[in-house]
Amino acid sequence: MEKHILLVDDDPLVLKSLTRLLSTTRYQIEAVKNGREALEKCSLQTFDLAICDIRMPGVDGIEFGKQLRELDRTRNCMTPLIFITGYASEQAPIEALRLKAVDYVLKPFDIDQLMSIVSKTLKQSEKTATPS
Amino acid sequence: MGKSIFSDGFDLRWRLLRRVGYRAVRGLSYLLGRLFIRGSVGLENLSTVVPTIYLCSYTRDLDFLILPALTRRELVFLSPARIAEKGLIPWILKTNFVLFADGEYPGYRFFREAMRSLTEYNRSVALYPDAAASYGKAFMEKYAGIIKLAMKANVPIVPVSMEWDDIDSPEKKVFPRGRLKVGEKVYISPNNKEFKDIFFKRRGFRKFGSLPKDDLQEIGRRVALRLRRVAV
Repeated sequence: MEKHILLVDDDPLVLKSLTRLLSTTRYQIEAVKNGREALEKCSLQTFDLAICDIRMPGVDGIEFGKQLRELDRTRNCMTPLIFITGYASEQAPIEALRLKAVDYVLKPFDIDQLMSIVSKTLKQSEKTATPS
Repeated sequence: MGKSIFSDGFDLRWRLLRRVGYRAVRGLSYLLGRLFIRGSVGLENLSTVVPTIYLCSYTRDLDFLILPALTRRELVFLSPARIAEKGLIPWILKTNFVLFADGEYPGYRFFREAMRSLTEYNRSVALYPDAAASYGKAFMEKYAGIIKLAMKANVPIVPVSMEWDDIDSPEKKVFPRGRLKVGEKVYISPNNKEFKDIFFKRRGFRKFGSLPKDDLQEIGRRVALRLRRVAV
């Protein structure tokens, strides 16, 4: 089954290149520019994975993560979350850990590394969804 | 009144003919390029999915023919304008896109067009010849511009070099053949161990993408060293 990935980043270059790359690996991508749009999408459907930038105007990545976890609680599920950021800060990884993010990737990133994190996370969530 | 010869039908046929001609010439240059290749090392580093920046070390004009023959995907060459005045090169140029660093697209426009090639048109970019450092443009100085380009577009840099057999055996000068050597992909990222010391040199809150020029040049120097190692 095709996996649905939500991509949230205010940088159009990152959004464009990641959408193109992830689409080639047969994932269905929903790309949005900010946290508010992302939350609207999440309220309408569930995603297999969310990749989110931390610093964005309006609703930032951490705020989006918090609200996503609340949505997950009502649905009784856990959307895997990968944070990406172009800034060096000590606070952001701690916040990401609190939100039980799967990984934390620094921008500019190694595309191969990100792709392997994505496929590993999706495989893991598939395993937990279908217990033997 | 009679219909102009540049009416829609004629224009369409003319464009179709030009496209067929372009494909034929490109196919021919591809076959020609393959003729000169004796072998290759590290071909798996030529990405088929992610657009890449190729750093090519120059050995002779024919290098220009080899790379497009191997990558298959359309290439954009970043070259100095004087390269178009050399021997066969103007002919081979016609089968690829070229951005002249000191010609049509100087300075910022050059950078923007190279970026568009990578991110919008999904084409790989090749710096040819590796005299990129001597283009004289501020952003190309010691590869700083290329490092910035790779960081902004999130694409890897791959060093490429050719080794010709007639250099050691002059009797092969009539029909020289070469071996292509492709180095490992380099991602300019704080996740890359090779550049961690540069990205984490400064303390406090800062953006990784906006490194100062001297740091970009230091990364450029390390990438250039890799190219040298591939070429030797």
